[in-house]
Amino acid sequence: MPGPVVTEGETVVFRTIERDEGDAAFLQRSCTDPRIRYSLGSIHHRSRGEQEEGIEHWAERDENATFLVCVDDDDAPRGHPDEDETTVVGSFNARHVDGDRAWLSYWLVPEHQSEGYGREMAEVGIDYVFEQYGVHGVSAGAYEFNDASRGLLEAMGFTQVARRREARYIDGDYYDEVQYDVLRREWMGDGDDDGDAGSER
Amino acid sequence: MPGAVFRRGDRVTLRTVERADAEFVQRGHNHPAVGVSLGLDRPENESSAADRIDSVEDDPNVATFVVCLEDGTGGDGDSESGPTPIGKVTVKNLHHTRPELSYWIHPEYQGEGYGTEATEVAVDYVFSAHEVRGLQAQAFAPNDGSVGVLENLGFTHEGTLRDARFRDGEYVDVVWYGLLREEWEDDGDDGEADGTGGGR
Repeated sequence: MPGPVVTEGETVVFRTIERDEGDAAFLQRSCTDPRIRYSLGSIHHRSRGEQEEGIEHWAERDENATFLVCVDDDDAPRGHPDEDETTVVGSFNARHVDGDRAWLSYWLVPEHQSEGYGREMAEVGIDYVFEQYGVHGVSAGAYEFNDASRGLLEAMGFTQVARRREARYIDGDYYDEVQYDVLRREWMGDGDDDGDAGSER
Repeated sequence: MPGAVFRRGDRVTLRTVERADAEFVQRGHNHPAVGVSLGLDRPENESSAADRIDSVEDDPNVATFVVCLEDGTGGDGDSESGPTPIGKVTVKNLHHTRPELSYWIHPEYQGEGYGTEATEVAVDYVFSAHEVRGLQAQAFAPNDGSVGVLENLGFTHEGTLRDARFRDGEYVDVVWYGLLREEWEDDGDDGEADGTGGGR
C-alpha cells in the first residue's frame, strides 16, 4: 500500500510509493494496459518482480519525484493507510528535479478517468515540483493522438515548443511526440490567482 | 591511442574508443568551449573519463567513436605516432525509434568542417546498420557550430525548449533536430556535397 501523504489537492492526495507488492502491481498497469501504455509510448511490459526492482532503482532515486495519486476515505490516516481506506487512481512522476528542467509524466487508470482527477493531479504535482525544487521550468510530452493530455497541457498554460516527428513506434505505427513547457515565472504568475484557492487547503 | 578504424570519411576516420583515450576525452570535456556546449557543469578527472568509457562498453545501445585525422603525427609532430584524435561522435539509445546523436570537435580543429564530415559518416553508419526510423540531436541555441553541423546534414529543426538549461551564466534555449531515414536517403548525395563544402 502507498505510504504517507506528501502533498494534496482538494480531492487527490500524493502518497509515497513503497517497496510493496501491491504498489508494484498497481504501477505494473502502466506497462500492461494498452489504454495506459500507448499514451506513455508503449513501454514494454514488466513482471511484478521487475516492477518491484524498478521501485528501488528508479522511484527511489533523488533525481526523481514519484507518487501514487490516491483518493482517501474520510478516515484515512496521513501515514500508512489500509487497503480499504484509500483508492489509488494514478501515478505522478517528475524526472530530473535536481536539474534546471524537470520532465513530467502522469497517468490515471481508465476506471478513474473523466472524473476530474487528471487536471487536479497535474496541478498539484506541478505546484509541488516548483515549490520543492529549484527547477527553472518543467517539460511534458504527449503523443499526437492523445487529445486529452494535450488539451490539459494547453488548458494549464503550457506552450507547445517542439514536435518530434515519428519519434515513437506505438501499436503498429510511428507517431509524433508533441512537447510542451512552462517556466517557473509563468506558472507562479498564474499561481497568484490560484493562490487564494490554494490557501484553503 | 584510439583503436581500430571502424568507418572512414574523406579526411577523418571513426575509430573505436579505447580506455587509453580517457586522457584525450578528458582534455575535451574539460575545455570550456567543449564542456559548456555539452552541458557538462563540473570537472572530470581521468579516472572518471575512463569509467565512462567502461560503462559505455557495457551498453549495447551505444556506438561511440574517436574522430581522427590520419596524418600520422599523433598530434605531437612525431611522424611515427599514428592517428591524431580530434573529437568524438556518439550515438545512444540505438534501441529507440530515433536514437540520439552527439559530437564534439576539439577547438583546435574546429572551423574546418571536420564535425560535419565525422557526423555524416556516423549518420550513414547508423542508417545502414540499424533499422531505425530516424535520428535526433539537441544543442544549446547559442551553439552555432553544433547547429551548423545539423543543418549541413539536412536535419529539421523540430522545436526549441525555452530556457531549458543554465549555462555560461544564463538560461539558454535548447534546440531539437530530427532526421528521418527517407530524408537522408533522398538527400544522400547532396549531403556529401554540403559536407565537403564545409559550411562552418
